[in-house]
Amino acid sequence: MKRGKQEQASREITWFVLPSEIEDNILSRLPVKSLLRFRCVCKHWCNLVTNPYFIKMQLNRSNQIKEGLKLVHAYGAEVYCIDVEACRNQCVETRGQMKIKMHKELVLPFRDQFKNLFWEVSGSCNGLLCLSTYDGLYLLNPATQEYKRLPYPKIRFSLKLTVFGFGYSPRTDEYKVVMIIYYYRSEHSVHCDDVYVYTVGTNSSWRSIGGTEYRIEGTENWFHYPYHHALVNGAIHWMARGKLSFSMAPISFDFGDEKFRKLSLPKSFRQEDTTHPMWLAELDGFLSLYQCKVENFNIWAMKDYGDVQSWTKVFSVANPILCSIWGLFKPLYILKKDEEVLCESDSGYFILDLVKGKICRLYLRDELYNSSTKIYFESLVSLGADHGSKQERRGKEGGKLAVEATGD
Amino acid sequence: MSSTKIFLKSSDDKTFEIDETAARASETLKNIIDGGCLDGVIPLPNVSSNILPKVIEYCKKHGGDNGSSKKIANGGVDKDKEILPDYDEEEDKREKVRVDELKKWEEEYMDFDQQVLYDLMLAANYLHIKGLLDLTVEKAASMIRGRTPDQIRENFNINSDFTPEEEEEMILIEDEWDDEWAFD
Repeated sequence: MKRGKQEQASREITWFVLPSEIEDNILSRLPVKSLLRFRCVCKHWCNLVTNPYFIKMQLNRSNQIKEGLKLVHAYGAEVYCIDVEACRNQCVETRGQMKIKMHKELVLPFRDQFKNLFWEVSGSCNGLLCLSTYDGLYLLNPATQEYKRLPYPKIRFSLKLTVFGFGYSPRTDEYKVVMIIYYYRSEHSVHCDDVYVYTVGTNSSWRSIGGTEYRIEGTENWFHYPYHHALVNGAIHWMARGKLSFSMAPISFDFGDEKFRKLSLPKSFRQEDTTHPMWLAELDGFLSLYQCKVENFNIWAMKDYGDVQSWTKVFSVANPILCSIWGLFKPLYILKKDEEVLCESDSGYFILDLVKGKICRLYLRDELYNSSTKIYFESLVSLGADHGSKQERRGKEGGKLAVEATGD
Repeated sequence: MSSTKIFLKSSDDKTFEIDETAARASETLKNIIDGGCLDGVIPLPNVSSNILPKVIEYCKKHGGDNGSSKKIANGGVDKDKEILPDYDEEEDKREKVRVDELKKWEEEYMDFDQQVLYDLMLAANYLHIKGLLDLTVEKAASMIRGRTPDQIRENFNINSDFTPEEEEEMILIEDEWDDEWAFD
C-alpha cells in the first residue's frame, strides 16, 4: 500500500493544517506534469487540477516564469512536440547525433479514429492547441488529454482559403475560435463574406458575425502559406490589406468584442519598406513586426499596445550572417532578452545569438519540418463547461471528450 | 519615526520589541499602526514565541525597504532597471552587491527544519508579509519538485484519504505516470 507513515502524525503541525491559500500557493509553483502525477497523493491534490480558480493561479504563475518552452508542429498525420531546452543542450553541441530523440510525438487522444488525416496546428494559447484538419477543428489540452471536436459550419468553403484564429479574452474570460473564410473573386483576388466565431465551454455553435473587408496576407497564395499571427492583449493580429489598397498594415480581431481593427505601421516606415514582406509575432508579450530584407533583418515591438508612437526597433541584424539559411526567417521566441532569439525558417529551427553574431542550428530530423510551428506551454486549462466536476481518469488511448459542438 | 518601538505579544504571552519601520514589512501590522488603534502591545494570537523572533528577524532585514525585498522575491531579477530615468553603472554595481548579500542572508535565514517552515508560512500568511511568504512557499514547493508521490506523502506527513476503490484507481494513474516519467 502506498501510504505515508502514519505514526508521524503526532507532530504539532502537518500539511493539513495549512490553510488552502498556502497549499494552493505552494502547488501552483509546480509544473503541470507534476501536478497531474501528484493527483494520487490525496483527494485535495486530485481535485485541485480541475479547480478553475487553481487552474488560473497555476497558469498565471507559469506565464510569469515561462518554464518548459515547447514547440509544436504538425507533419502529415502526426503532431510533434519539441522541448527546446533539452533540444538545445544536446543538439547544438552534438551536431545531429541526438536528433531523432528530440521530437516527441504528441499523443492525440482522437487520432486512432482519424489515422489518415493531415493536421495543421492553427493556434496555441494558454496550453490549449487548435488543430485543423479536413474533418473539423480539434481543441486539445495535450497535458490533460482533454479535447473537443468542432465540426465546421455547414457551408461551402475551402480550407486552403480559410484563416483560423484561436485565443483568449481576459476581459470576457472566454476562449474563442474565429474562422475567416475567403472566396475567389478572380484569379488573384479574394474576398471574405463569412466570419464565424465559436466560444469554447458553452454548448453554442458557430455564430456568423458577417464578413470583413481585410484580406489577410497569405490568403491569396496558392501554396497555403502558413499564417503568421500574434496573440497579444486578448486579440489576434495578422498582416492584411484593405479592400482596395495594396499596402499592408496589421489588423486585430479582438476576442472580447469580436471586432476587427486596423493598426498602424511604425512611423519611420517609408513607402518602399512596405513593399517587402513583413509579418507579425508575439515576442516577450509585445506585438512585434519583423521584416527580412536582403541587407538586414529587423524586429520592431509595439511597447505600448495601440500607441503607434511606441513602435521601437528592438533588433536588427545584418543579413550576411543569415544568408546561409534559406527562406524567410520567422522569430518564434526571445530566449534571452537582447541576446538570443529562437527562429524558424523553411529549413529548420535556429537560435540567433545576437551577442556573438552567429547562428546555431537545432538539429532535428529534416523531413519532419513544416513551418507552422507554434509556441506551447503546458497548462491545466479545461475545455469543458462542466468546471469543477470530478476528473476522469486520464486514459492511455481515449482522452476525455468534452461536450461536442453542433454544426451550424 | 525610525526609533518608534512596537511591542508584539505572542500566543503564549511573551512580548517582543520591534522598530516601527521593520514592523511595516507586515501589511497586517502596517494597517494596525496606520489605523491608529495602537494600544501599546499588539497581540498576535496565531504566532507563538518560538517563531516570532524569526519573523522579526526577517522584518528587520526587509522593513522600510520594500523595493529590495520585492526584487529578491522575484528571484533577484531587477525588472524595473530599464525604466529608471538615470541609469548609473556605479549604482548598478552597488545594487548587485546588495542583492548578492541579501541572497546570502536569505540562504542562511532559510536553513531550518520542516516544522519551522510550516510555522513561518502560517505566520507570514497571517501577518501578510509577502516576501517571507514567497520565500517559504517556494521552499516548500522545491521540496515537492522531482519527488515521487510516495516520498511526498512521507516527507509532508500526508495521509492518502482515498477510499479503497479510489486508491486502486489512483495506483493505476501513478503507475502510468511512472512509465511516462521514465522518458523525460
